[in-house]
Amino acid sequence: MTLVKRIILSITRRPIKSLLLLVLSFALGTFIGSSYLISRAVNGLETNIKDNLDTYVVISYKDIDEYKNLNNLEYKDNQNKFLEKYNEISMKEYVDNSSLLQYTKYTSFSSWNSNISHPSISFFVDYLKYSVSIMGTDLLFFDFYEETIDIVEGRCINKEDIENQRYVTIIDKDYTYPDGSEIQIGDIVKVEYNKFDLETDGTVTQLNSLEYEFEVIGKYEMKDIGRNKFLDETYLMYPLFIPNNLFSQIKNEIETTNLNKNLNYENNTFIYLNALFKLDSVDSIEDFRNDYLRLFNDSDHYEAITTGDEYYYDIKGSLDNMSMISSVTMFIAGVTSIFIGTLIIYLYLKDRTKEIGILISMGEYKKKIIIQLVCEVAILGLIGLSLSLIASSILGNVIMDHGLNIPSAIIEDYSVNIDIIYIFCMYGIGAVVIIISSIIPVWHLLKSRPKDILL
Amino acid sequence: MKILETKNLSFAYKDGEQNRQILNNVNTSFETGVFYTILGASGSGKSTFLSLIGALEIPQQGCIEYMGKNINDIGLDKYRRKNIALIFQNYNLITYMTAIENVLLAMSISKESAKIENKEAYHYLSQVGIDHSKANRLVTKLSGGEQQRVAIARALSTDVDIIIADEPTGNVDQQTSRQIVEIFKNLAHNENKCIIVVTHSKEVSDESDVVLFLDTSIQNFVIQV
Repeated sequence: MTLVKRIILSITRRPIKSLLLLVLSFALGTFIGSSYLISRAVNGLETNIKDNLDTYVVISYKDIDEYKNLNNLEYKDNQNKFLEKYNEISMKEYVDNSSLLQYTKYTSFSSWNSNISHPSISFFVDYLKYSVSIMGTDLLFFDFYEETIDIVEGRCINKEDIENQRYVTIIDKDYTYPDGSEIQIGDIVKVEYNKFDLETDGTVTQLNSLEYEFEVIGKYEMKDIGRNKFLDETYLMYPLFIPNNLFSQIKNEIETTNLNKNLNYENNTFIYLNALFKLDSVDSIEDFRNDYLRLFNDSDHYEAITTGDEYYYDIKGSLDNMSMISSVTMFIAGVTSIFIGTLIIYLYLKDRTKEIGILISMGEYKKKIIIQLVCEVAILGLIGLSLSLIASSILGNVIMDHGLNIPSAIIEDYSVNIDIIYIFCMYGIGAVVIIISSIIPVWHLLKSRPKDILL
Repeated sequence: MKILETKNLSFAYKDGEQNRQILNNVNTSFETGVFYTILGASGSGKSTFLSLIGALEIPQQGCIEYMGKNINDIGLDKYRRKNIALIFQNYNLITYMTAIENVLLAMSISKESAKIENKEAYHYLSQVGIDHSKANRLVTKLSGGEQQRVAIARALSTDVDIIIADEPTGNVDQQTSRQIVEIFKNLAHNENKCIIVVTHSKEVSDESDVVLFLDTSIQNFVIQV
């Protein structure tokens, strides 16, 4: 009778004991496997969520009305300080990209006039007729305001426009020519900066004038959320968006010509009240907050709003809990499975003491006895483990589905998957546990005195 | 032919802090073709002696020689595999195997790489009165007497020179007991085996060729004529 036949007979002729061992290895394998898979999935999920989340920060001036009442010096001081703080934060390692949101506004002695009109914008004085505001933008701006501004015709400002400082603009879809005719994509919009003086009799004297032409490349529609986010009807009226670096160039040009003409330059025709930052990860929010508080703690006028973390921190608690639970569970599962496995295998083999004694009395090689018994345990254990591979995946997915509530906007698909590494780990660890759990009891049993077993 | 010999064999059990001497300088020999019985009172050391010559226990003093060679030099496992076969009072069969599987198991162990034929196993079983249908039953489905016959067939199948039996008739009825004794006599006288039986039964010892009485006062054998 071959060793293989002995093993098969032992397994098949003792079905209850064999089934018990198989069920045990299945249960422990499922327990460990699902813990391991969940732990891996949670770690992967956390990384995935962080990768998928774009973390933006907007620093904005809270009280626009107060801002309006600043005098020139206060305004200049405020703007310079803001610019310094913006530059400092921009240089931080955790900042991927930054944008200073700058725009124009009309003042008592300057205006921006154009050859187009908007049905929602009207002024009762002639020199403010067809006034527009211009806003410098860049790609970060459009990323951030992706859901607030829709390009309904033409295209948006792109990388080439910015790099080449093209005189292009995107305008609100409701802009028309004064006669009501439609503005076409490719048309040229003229914008004129006017510095003037008002006489007591109401006469307007033009002191400086600069004209700029922009090609209309696209039309946008601003959603209500956009209006609430950063528009103020006093400061921004359906702005003409142009590349930010071009805006800076225009600003410099105007400031220079005003100074050259010794004009009383009003700084607040150009405003930057908002700064936009894109952080490298959600984890950097804390670093940003520390820098923000350090730089802006002497001012109640600013606020910082972070986005992206709203989803992440909603679920971070769940993720942390899941990760901790799965790590602890995996550790406990590993330790108890080895302990319980050894115990059960020992009891399974102890039942074979007499058989071992009989085989010894017949002169069977001890190594063959060990091989037979270890193989029996290994076969049953590995069958149980194989079944547990599937069960642990199912169980892991069920637990993950019920344990986390992640918006699909963040991540559409995650799953607790078995892969080749997991399979190797499970079989490898299972084999080690089985061998250690069975060899030690068998060796101990072989050291028993045969006389005591048999006589 | 002298096949087995004990020289100055001694063995003691630890009884608390003291040693209880069971066998003291036992010198005895066994020959092929002879049916031996070993008698003695309970606790006299019969089973101990049997376990020593069966290499299930190691003597504290002295040695056991098979065909003039120390069994330690032969190797205890090899000695049990090739030279002796043991039969126990409680049969000690593999309970999840059939009668024939128990015999085939013994044959595969003793004959190692040799080809084992089922019909050979059936032959050994038939020699002890186990027919074909009973041979294919689980041993637990057989009576005590039938199980003991299977144990004897298992011993026969190893084709060894020495068969050692510990109370082989202890758990069987009288008729079966007589049949077993006849088998042993046949093996000794016709097959030239050395049969060593430990027994309490006078009926069994009366049928044997040599009776060795284990005297507890001297921890040694006395040959009873």
